[in-house]
Amino acid sequence: VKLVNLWDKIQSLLAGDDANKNTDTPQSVPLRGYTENLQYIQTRFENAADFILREFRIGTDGRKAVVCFIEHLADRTLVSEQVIYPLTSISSISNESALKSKPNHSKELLSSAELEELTDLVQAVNAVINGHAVVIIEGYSKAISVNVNAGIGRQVTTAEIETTVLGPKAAFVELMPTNMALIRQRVRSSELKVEKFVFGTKTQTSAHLLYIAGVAPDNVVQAMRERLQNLNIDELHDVAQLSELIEVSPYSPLPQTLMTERPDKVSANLLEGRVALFVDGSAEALVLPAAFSDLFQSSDDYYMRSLPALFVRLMRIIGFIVATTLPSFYVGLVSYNYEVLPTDLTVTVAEARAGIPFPPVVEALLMLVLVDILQEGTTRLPSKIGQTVGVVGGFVLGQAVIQARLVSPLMIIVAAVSVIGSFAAPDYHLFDLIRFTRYILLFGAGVLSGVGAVAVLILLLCHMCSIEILGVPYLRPVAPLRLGSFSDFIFRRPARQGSTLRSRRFSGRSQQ
Amino acid sequence: MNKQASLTRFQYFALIIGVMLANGIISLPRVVADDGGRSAWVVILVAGAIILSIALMAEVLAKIFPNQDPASWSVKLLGPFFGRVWMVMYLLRAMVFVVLTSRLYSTTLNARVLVLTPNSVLAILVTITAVAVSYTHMRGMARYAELAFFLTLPVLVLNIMPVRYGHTFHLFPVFADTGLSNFIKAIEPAAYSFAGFDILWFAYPYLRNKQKSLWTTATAIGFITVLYSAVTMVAIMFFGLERLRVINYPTAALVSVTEVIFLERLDSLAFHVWLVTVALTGGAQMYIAARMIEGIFPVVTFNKAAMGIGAFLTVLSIGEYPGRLALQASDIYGTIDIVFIAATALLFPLLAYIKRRRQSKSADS
Repeated sequence: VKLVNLWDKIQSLLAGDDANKNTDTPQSVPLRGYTENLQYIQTRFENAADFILREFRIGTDGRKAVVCFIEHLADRTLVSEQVIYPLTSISSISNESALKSKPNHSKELLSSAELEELTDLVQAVNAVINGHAVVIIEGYSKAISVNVNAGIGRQVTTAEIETTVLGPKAAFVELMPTNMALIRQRVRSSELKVEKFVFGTKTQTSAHLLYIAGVAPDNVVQAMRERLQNLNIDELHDVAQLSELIEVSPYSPLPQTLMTERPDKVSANLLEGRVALFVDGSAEALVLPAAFSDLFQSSDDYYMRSLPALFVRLMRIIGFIVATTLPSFYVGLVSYNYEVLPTDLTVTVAEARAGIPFPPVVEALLMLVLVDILQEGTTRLPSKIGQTVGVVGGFVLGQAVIQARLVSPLMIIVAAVSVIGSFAAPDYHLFDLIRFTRYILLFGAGVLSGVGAVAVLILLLCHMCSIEILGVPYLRPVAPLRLGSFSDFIFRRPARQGSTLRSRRFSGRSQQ
Repeated sequence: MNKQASLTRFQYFALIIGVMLANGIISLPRVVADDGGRSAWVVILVAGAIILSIALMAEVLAKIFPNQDPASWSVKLLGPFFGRVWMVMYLLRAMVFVVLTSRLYSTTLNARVLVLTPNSVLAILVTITAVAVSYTHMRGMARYAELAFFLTLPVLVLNIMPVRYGHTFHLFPVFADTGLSNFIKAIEPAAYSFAGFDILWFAYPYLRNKQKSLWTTATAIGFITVLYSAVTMVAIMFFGLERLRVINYPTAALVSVTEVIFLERLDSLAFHVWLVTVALTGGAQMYIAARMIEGIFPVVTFNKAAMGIGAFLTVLSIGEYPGRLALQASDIYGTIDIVFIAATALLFPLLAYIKRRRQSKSADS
């Protein structure tokens, strides 16, 4: 009985909590009288020092009006020029019945390029939060939202993560209008569609879905749209968070969206028939559907000649294979299957390992963990200190570890080659994947030699085979094999008249 | 289950090959040469031709029910009771197949690569990977089969490479030491190496281009037959008949003699990579078993059935069994399996025909 009572109590508490939540943030409050509207808005922005509410009278008939906005989010000059000045300078405003007969009256009164009439106070509050100025006029049944957004953010700068030797250097910034302009600049087509979504009951973050109508398959666009519409979250801060929310397998170590800071990459992918997602306040865009092969492509490939690009792509794939498998391969061979190695090499390995107290797997773990900690340290620390840490960690510690006979010199070489191989990854998420895979393969090889590593690889491959992103298999064009799509997988075809630079991989035909 | 027709013909081909490949190839040249002698490679060609005809009959049965797999059409043709009885038999067959596959592979590994590792640990490892493969469902499994095909292709090439050290005089005269009875007797153990092609019944509903499926199946069986025959031929040429008859795993021994510039004992590596295709064989049988459970008990979902079978087989894998026992069991199993599949492929289309005739007659009346 006590348990049941407790359960009832918890339920009532939860229900009460929910009810409180509902009263805190009502879904809709229709506009009422001028004073009530003013009171509601003032209550909602109670204790907000940056909230500005400026009352004034319109024209000669002295009708009361108020403009409210948030300082710094809205541009004061724009508020004065586009809202207060036009309203105060008109001679008179007709009565409400006249206003009702001319529903677009507000649009004629104000000179702003973007304004909206609101019938709901919650919408008005949301507009203020988003940097708009909201005007409420006495006797007028609608509020007017004027876009006077100050556009806080940095200027377009060069890409920092996806740097290229050739080609454009611009990267996205945290401002949505700037990012949209960067894309529009590259895809000057009316077929480029932009759909707006707002996420987060608390953050009210806007996100944009971009695609080229007629190029992006309808089913892909529709699936993406539905997935976004079904999202119900309290807060959204970054595009990475949105990526996790829309992924089919959020616990997977595999990146299922392509995250990029480069406008040229996004526009090229849009032309391939994919969709892009932008989140306000985020300097990266998401591209979907993404395939595993996309992680090996860099924008540079399209700005260099096709044969060198082929070579570079091959190097990246080799780098990936070496970085992920070399430590486990070495541990498997040295611990269990040394008969595979030539006799001379076996002797060399035995000599190098003589006097090392740890088994190869512990040795490998020691080195890889050390390298990863160093890497993490140099990434997060200020660049000058980071360099020092790199030198101390890399040279001094490496030398000391060998002299103390804790790790064999061969293992240092293996760890170093593996880490260098991972640097060939053009995508940061691929780099993370390499680190993760390296450890699980090492675990498999340490426990059950090569068979253990192959078993781990099989589990990973099975997972990859089962993933479909917006209906597109993750391992495309390898599985299912699509020879046509190979033209932009390893070898990039040279540009020809009448043909596209990138293959239209995601438009048209079924993707299975 | 979403049966969106999405499998390409190459995936269909790779799936049939991948499921058959892991079985028996490691000991195939010896078991066939025991009775077949120098003509062992011809025995395999004949066995392949028999299997091809059964596979084509199986394909015809699949075509009668283009959007259904045995979990559905067995009940339709045999009724709810006998349909379920047939499914139970098929389920047991699939489970025994997984056990045999994992046991044979783990025994081979135990004998040649991981001598100190308990056999049961390796059998459990195979079972776990098989569960993972079956968990990807048919579309994922077909993709995996493609990858497995490309990963194991180099191992198959390594099996053929020792041909340059072999002597053709071991092959001729072909029928010198084989009478007709021995020749027929030799076909029997070859059957196990061809087991598993019935996966086509489950893959067919997902196949996109169904028109050319007969041709694809024929190509897959033909490919396997030629490959088996070639490996057997190379084994006879390299070892000679007398030596071949005492080597337990001649295919593995063939890989071990191949030297590549840097690596000396490639068989160790080849055995590791072979797990990729073994997992596919086990996974496909696990898929069949899970579908059968779904058919017998419609309330059980596929994933739960696969997980349950996986857990059961993992428990079954605990314990040591002599490797010879698995080899002997596989010989018997191969024959029973082929008879079961052939009987189904022959009888079920007949039943479907009779049922349709009856339906059309009753419609007329």
